[in-house]
Amino acid sequence: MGRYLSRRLLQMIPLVFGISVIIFLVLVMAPGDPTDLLLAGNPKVRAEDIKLLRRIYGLDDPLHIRYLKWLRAAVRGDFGYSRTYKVPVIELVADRIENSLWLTIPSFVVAVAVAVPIGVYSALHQYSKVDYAATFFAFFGISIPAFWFGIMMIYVFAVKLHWLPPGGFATPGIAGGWPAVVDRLRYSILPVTVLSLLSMAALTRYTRASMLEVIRQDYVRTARAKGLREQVVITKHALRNALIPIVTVLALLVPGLFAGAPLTETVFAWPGIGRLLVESVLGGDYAVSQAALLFLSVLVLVFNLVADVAYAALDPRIRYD
Amino acid sequence: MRNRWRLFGMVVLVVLSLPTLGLSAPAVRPAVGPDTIVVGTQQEPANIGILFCDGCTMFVGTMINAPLFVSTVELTNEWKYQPVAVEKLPSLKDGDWKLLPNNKMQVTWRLRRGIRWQDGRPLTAEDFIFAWRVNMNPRFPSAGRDVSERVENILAPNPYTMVVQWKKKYAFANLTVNGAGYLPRHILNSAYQRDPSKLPENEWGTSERTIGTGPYRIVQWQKGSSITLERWDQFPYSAVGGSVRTQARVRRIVFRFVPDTNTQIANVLAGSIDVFDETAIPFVQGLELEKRLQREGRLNTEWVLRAEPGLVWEHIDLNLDNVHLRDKRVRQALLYGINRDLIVQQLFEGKQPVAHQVFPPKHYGYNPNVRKYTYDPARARQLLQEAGYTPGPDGILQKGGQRLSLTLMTTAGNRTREAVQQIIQQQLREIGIEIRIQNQPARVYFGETLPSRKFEMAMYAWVFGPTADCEGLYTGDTLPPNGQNYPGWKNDEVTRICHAVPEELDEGRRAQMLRRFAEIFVDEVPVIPLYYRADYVGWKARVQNLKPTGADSPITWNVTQWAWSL
Repeated sequence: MGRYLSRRLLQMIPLVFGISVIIFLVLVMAPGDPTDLLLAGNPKVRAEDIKLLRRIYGLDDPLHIRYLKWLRAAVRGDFGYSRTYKVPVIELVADRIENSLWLTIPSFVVAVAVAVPIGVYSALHQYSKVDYAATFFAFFGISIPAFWFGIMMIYVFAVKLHWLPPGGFATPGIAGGWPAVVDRLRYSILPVTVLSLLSMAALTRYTRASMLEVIRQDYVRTARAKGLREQVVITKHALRNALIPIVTVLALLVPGLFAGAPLTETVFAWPGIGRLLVESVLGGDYAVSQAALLFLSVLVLVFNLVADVAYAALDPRIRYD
Repeated sequence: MRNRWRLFGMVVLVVLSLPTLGLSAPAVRPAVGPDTIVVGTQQEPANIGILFCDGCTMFVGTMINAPLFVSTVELTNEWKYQPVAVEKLPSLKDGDWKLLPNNKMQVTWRLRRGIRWQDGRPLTAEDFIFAWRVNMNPRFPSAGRDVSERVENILAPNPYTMVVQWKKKYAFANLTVNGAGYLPRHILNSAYQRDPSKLPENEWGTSERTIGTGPYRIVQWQKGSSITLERWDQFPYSAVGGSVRTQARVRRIVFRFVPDTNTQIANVLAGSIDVFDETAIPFVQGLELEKRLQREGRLNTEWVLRAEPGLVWEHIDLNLDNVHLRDKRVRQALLYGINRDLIVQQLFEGKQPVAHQVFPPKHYGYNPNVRKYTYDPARARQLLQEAGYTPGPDGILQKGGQRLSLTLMTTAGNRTREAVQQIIQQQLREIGIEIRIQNQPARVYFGETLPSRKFEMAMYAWVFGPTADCEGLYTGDTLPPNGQNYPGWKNDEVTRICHAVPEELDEGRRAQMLRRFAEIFVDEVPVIPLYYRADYVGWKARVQNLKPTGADSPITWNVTQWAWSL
């Protein structure tokens, strides 16, 4: 297992390197550059100043030099400087990841806590009313766009009912400590609901399908034939086996929650990593886009590994050597 | 089975009817509390308090600057200039603005005593001279040196007197000391000496450690979310002039950045912001919001909305190198063939008025007597016939085998502009001109297409200040990259006038020159004027003394006068 892990981790190095090349190329190949926005709408800015800015941002160097410069700094943990936020990228990204965690962790917990039991129940009571309702809500969750659902939530709970704030992530003037945490939670309820509902939908379907497959297996019938209690059959024999494929889905749900958050974060004016990525791309703040995309890619790689390791832990038939 | 479907139907009904629940409660109370006003805006500024600005967040920067920094001269909502940090505006009559031989000038300013930086240091002439030096340093990436470079030198006989020597005449030398304002020399000088190009990244200007001179100080900057200002109680109200002489009444001002328009509107409806600025809600959505508040009986009782046509001029540049557009008659025919009255009525309910020239009626250079091209398709067809165009087999006019087909570009994704484009396309089709629509992302459009003049017709807007003129835009020697004469218009008289305007000190004569410019402009039609934009500003009915200027100065210009009436 140890050898397997170290091999996988070593393999990730060239992979991350390759991803960084692709990210870099895609970003620089997009037309226009950051200094263009300075020109737009400002009749007084001069060509020399644009040139100066291009030099300051290092946009004058040839492509491969720009990449190597970036790589050399990145290896030392220096991801450059955000042009629009005027802070080191690493600080900015770390700050935004922390903000995003306020949404992703609760969303993950809520999604799993609701979807897995519903999926199991649906499978055990196939074609029941509850199963139909669960199926309906799953398709509802899969089909509705996050931004629309977000706006509807704001409309009902903030505009009409005045129960929750319509976006933002803190009430101005509330100092730290316990009140600040409660305040932050209040702001996170709506975006967490949106994010979790969207992943909950798919997760319910996976759980239901996996469980349905397992409960028709011979060993479940054998367990019942042995005269075991139904609860033991379900939790010990069926659910454990059904969870194996779900673990992959769960592991990949984490980067999915981060990557899927931009729309939700924009609608709720939540300063997370997803919104930062969108804004940096639109604003031509490439150093930030690069770091944010790289973070998301590494997240996918890491959680893929987590899924594989979890496989081995859950399924005695799988051994990595 | 039927029972199951009935259940589904009920569930669907409940879900779909959720948003229409009539549970509205009035949103008249302060969003946070009676000592705070929350201002909703769209973008977060990159920098505050520094003359450097990168890109389009400049406007919101000025809004946050106003409470933080005492301005030298302020523009009121009646478009009057009044001295704030200085004792008076220099004038030729009083002798503190002197004309010298060789077209040079000397202007003397007296700073008011008692104005201090929030760390206790006095604001002195040194800070103005420092800002000017910074702005003139070629290694400092400036957003505009055009005024600063007209200044030859600034002398300070004592810390509160500045003698500004101008290289040549400049009409607005009584409105700006140096074209750069002031910066805290005692804080920034060492960083400036190290590397002027890194100055915009200094923590002063980008963080909570930005020390100002105004009635408010910055206490919290949550990047990506909000900036909180708090009243600075040591502010010397009696030492300054203008609107800031009024003791600030609200303890806290919060700027909240909401990037999504729909969320911003939800914030208005839910009452979780108290004021929104010009950038927060685009005009068309603002119009919908106004109608909705009206319908619900909340307009003027809960929210006050204003959309003043200002100094933003929407227009279509015509590339005068184009084989068709080279001909004046074709350009005039285009203008006759577009029903601009219909466009502003249908899309904006007339609230954004048709533009017949460059400057709007509020501008001093506006010419009320220029020819107005009212919609006249018959006249358009006649002009095109005179220019030698005949109908082709597909109904599109042609001349010498070339079809009269033109590309009309604008920024992709801008719904209003796209709607205007479609109306224009349809109207010009009726007089035999084919319009092909081709839109690009703003970065490509403003960054590559316009500066390289790779367009035939280009729709966009210029944002003017009350002192704006035509230099740089329509002077024959300022085609890109030397300026922004994108149409490529070269008219000797216009070039002469536009260069002369900023150097003419007499406002009457300046206005006369700009009126002559307007006449030539309207006859030559190098650009199709469309309409003057109006932007919505809104505030809760209980917030007092909000006075938008409709110019380029921000709503916060009189922030110390803002108050709640509860």
